Amino acid sequence: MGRPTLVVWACGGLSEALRVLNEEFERSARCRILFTGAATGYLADSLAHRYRGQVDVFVMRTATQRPLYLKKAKKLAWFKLFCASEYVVITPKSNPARIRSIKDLARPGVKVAFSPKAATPESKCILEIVEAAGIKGGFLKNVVKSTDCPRKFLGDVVAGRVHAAIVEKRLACLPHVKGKVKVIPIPLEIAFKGKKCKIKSPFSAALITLTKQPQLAKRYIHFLLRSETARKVMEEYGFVHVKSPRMRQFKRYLAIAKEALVGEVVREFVRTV
Amino acid sequence: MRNEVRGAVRASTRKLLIVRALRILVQLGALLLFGKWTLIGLVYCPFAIPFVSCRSCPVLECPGRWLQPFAGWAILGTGALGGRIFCGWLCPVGLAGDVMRKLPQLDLLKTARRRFASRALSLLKFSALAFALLLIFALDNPRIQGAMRTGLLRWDTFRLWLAFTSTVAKARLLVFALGIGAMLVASRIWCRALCPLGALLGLLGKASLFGLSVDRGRCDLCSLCRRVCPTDAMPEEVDCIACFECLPQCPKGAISFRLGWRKVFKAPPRR
Repeated sequence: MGRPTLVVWACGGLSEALRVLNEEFERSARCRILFTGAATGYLADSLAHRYRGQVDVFVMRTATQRPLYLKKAKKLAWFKLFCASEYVVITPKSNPARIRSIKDLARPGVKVAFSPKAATPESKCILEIVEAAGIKGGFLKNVVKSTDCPRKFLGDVVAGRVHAAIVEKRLACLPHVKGKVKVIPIPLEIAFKGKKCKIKSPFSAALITLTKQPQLAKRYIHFLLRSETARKVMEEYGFVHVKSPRMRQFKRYLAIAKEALVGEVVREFVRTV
Repeated sequence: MRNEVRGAVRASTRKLLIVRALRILVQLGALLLFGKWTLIGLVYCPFAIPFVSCRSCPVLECPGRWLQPFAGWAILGTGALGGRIFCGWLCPVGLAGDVMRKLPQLDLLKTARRRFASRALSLLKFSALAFALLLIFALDNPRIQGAMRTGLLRWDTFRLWLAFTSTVAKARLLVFALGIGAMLVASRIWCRALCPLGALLGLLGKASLFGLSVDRGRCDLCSLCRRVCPTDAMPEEVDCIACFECLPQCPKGAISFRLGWRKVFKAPPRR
């Protein structure tokens, strides 16, 4: 008998962190994980309409619309909140423009990088954030580096060719960027004021009805949601894990379906009682 | 006298066999190093021109992320050293071309009547190079598709990719597939007509440190070297991939291997 195989699909943004966790789980559960990381939209559409092969777990961006849609299409058994993405301002390590808060990005003379044609979390969400901060006009005026993918300007920030950029924190935690940029947090009431940010920031882990290894899949999801290893790794890669104390604050702002939190609500209730 | 000439020819043929075996070994080694990168780059690279923007690339499984910063410069370095020696000795697509050449093939561009077509196609790769440089430097090598990040060498991932990738990315794969597949009917046609890297290395090779050279005084333009050449080229031409196949074949002994401007090896005339 060979080792059982678990098929895991995940949002591309989680790939770096999940690869580490998958290796850990493969060791502990003595199984093999076939991992596909790609845009959540591609994978969800494929699950809903085309794909008939084995998929056991789907870790996707959003914890509302998409999983509920998949559930309605009877492709998803249940889903739980896994982690959330956080938006930050990054500057070169030396911070030559002396950026202290998001408001400084609209100051005349500050060179800013932005990816207007990238995917929603990296383009429209950032526009929502600068709008919520009341600096949209000044921010767009200061854009000196406009790319179709935020990864393209990370090198420019590290090298100091641009003074600042707004990115998901996970990008500031990539190996070639980590420690080489200064990370300035954005207040949550600004970061999650817009609808798109509320929807796109949380990630959920779901058990798929096409599963051939339901027990192993549940064990895997439990490992992602409950283990200390998962919390540490996700935080190391710039995410706020569901077990992280900061998640309580985040939950107030994020769009999360109730059923993704049911376990949490029950636990909270039991704790209170 | 005749025996001496025969002996010299035999010795140079032996050297060719050694060079051939060495080339196959080097190509297989390069396949191990560059094979996965080439395959993933041709299919999944999210950028319009693959193998260039690897530092900004989210495709986790692609070895280009760690390989390209070194290999990119090294490949350009081989151009300055030996022209298209990368194409002849290291490129996995070139290896595929060499394998296809060993299959019984209908070489459409080899006959004399079609030589003109062969030359015209050879010029096409400079247009491909100009187009590639335009995309890289003027348009910052735009993204043409979403990134599949892991599980890339699995069939189910490829099917997912086919279902959701952009038309431009599919068109690019079609061009690669047709160009590489066409090597079955025309030897190394991808390398001769379409490869922008080959065009760049060929241009660098014009001032390369070593390579094959031809003595114009001795050469009687019999074109035997062209006939044995996988890219239908004479030494010193842009398409010469330094495979050394022509070296012992020249009936006049006009082809030699040069290091700098000094001829270090010259095969005897083959009669």
